[in-house]
Amino acid sequence: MGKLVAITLERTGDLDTPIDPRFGRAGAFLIVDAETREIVSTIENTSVEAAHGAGTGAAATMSGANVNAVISGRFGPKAYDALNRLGIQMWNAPQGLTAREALDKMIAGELTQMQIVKY
Amino acid sequence: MIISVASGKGGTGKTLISTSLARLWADGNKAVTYVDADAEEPNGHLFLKPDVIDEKRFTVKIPTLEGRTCAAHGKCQEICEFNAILSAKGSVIVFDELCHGCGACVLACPEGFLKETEREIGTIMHGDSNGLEFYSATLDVGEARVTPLISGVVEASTENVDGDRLVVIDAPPGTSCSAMAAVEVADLVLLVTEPTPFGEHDLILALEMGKALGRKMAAVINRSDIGSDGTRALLEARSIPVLAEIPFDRAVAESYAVSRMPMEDSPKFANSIVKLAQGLVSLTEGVSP
Repeated sequence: MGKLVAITLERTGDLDTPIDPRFGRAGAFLIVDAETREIVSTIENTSVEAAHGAGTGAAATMSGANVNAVISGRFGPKAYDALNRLGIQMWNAPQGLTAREALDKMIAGELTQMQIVKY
Repeated sequence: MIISVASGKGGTGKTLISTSLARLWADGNKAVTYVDADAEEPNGHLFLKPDVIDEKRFTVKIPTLEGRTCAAHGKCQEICEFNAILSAKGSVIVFDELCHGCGACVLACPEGFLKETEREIGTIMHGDSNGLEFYSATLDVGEARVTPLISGVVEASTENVDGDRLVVIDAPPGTSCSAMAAVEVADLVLLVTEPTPFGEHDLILALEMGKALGRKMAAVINRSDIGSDGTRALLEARSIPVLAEIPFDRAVAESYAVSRMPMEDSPKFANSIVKLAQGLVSLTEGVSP
């Protein structure tokens, strides 16, 4: 199995579903094998209703799914901190893409990766 | 006797009313404690100008791994209701500002590796304002959770209270956990409201809070000569006694704006506070301290 990538989706779906620009409060996560582009699983985001800590809850979900990277629109400060410390890469995708387009752009090197900052 | 001065809506006059009541009673030789429980923006000290007796840092408990290598069972992460702890490859990540200090993760760790350490979140001040006991809590800048600090100042100020002492708690606005922490210990909740649609809307929430906590309630209507009549109708329908109506008075606003006690500058306002104080005393007679 190759590198596992999580893509935030507006709702449970497949590679043709629009991405959700939010990480912590995304509708669902699509877990894809970046080499074969096969869908490994779709996970509904249970943190979406959390009053606080949606970002850290979603980061815990990512950790549980053993992903190497996440593609989303933006990451909140606590989600960023958590993913950073979990060693999971964060990639920013522009709004309006489907999961497939976002994945293609990441593989083609057209997305920006959030810098890992030591603090 | 503990009276919590609360409101749903902010800016209705909780601090004006509670500092005035405390000053009036203290100057009348009653044993009085004023507690500023609005720890996110305490301002009672601006009016009562206390001399500081002592200041103590207030702490909450947070989990740490204390140099151990985590076996990553993930039980701490699973049990945490607030997503404040993550189990991660040999370590745990604790988000201090999300942690409620409940200790569930410490109990859940199958290895018993998690320990609780103290984390400072604010300061509790004890002072004296011309014979009036003064307490206030101030949350540190950047801290997200104020409720434990409010419970802390309420506990510190009420633990050795005898039956004759009047404790006036200046509660934070709203009806969330922070407001409830300042109201749940009260023998009587005095709701400060105003005759506006906003006042009425938030008063409904405050009445529900008081009811849910099983507290005896009374109301005072501030700026009573402006706005609409919905607030009065609501209080009447819920059988909540209105102990005083305080009309708008520019002299009160001018006095308050320069940190004076408006009772000294507006005889009309002073009369309203006397009437309110009498109403509170007669209402609380027979209530066991």
